[in-house]
Amino acid sequence: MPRNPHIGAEGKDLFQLIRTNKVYVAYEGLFDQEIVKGFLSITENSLAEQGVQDGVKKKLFNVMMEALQNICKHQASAADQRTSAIFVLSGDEKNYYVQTGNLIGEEKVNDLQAYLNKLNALNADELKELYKTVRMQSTISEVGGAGLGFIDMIRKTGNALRYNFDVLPDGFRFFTLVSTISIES
Amino acid sequence: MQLNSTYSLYRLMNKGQYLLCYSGYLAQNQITALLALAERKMQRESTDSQVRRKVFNVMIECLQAFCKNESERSGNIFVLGKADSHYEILSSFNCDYETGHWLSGFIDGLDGLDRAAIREEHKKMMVREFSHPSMASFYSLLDIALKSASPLEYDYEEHSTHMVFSIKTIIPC
Repeated sequence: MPRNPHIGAEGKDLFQLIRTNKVYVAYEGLFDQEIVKGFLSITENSLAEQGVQDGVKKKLFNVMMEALQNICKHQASAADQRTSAIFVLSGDEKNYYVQTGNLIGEEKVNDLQAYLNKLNALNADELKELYKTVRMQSTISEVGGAGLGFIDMIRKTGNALRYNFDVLPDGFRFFTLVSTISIES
Repeated sequence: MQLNSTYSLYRLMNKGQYLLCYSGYLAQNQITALLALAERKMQRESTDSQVRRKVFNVMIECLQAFCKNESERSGNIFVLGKADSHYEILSSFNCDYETGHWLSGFIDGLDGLDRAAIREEHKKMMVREFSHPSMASFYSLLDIALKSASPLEYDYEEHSTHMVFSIKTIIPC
């Protein structure tokens, strides 16, 4: 055993989680436009080095942009102080996964779940129609909000959004959203 | 990645006050982008410029060591954390047994050395020939020890074909 084993249990657990889940990048905290730009830059360089196909690269970028913008907007509009969020990019042989996680009030869960289920059940034409309708009906401040972002993510990837609401003790839920980008189309 | 893993990762990063994790291939472009991200984060935290410079220097040394460790690029992980009293830089990488055991002995040997002695070690390593090329990439640990002014902490796991070596550097605020 090492004479100086002080890396800490949390650090070891973190390394384990990163390796097991093939995480490329993860960021936890407050997001702003500069942080978003930083992520896009890291990913761009990483994808270029990996020789990822242009089509996949474009899809991944679009989804990352939507996901990161959603977090920024959520944080900007959150009334409570618990606005910390996480962004994760991971992947395996078949897919890239863009994951976001943030705290939301319990009262928002049912509506959000119903909306995501509705979107996941629509076909490509129906999503296109809905996109147009939502865009037309939205006020300026709503345009580009999470509603359109979710539709966009499904349309661009052709894959349903996966989600989860982890229960927290004090009236909050941890909302996880995962968009899957297939490497081979 | 499992759906509930995102929450596990969030909890772990939140509890350990880790801000940023990066895993995988590192070229100069990624190093530049990671440094820019860290800079933005430290600006937001209004970190003292001297501390910022130290964090930057240690980050550069860690990331450059990864870049130079040509043989085992796939297992590299870099983590930046910020607690109330310090910044923390964690790095983890795969290496062969010979390199891993040499590294643990080398870090143990740094314990208790003053700055002048570390500088002497640095000079010696610059001209030394190593039995394994990746060992040479770790002479930057001496720079890290000098720049952080804190003892390096490490751990390793032995696997059947290789070792996973992890190093923690603390930079007091």
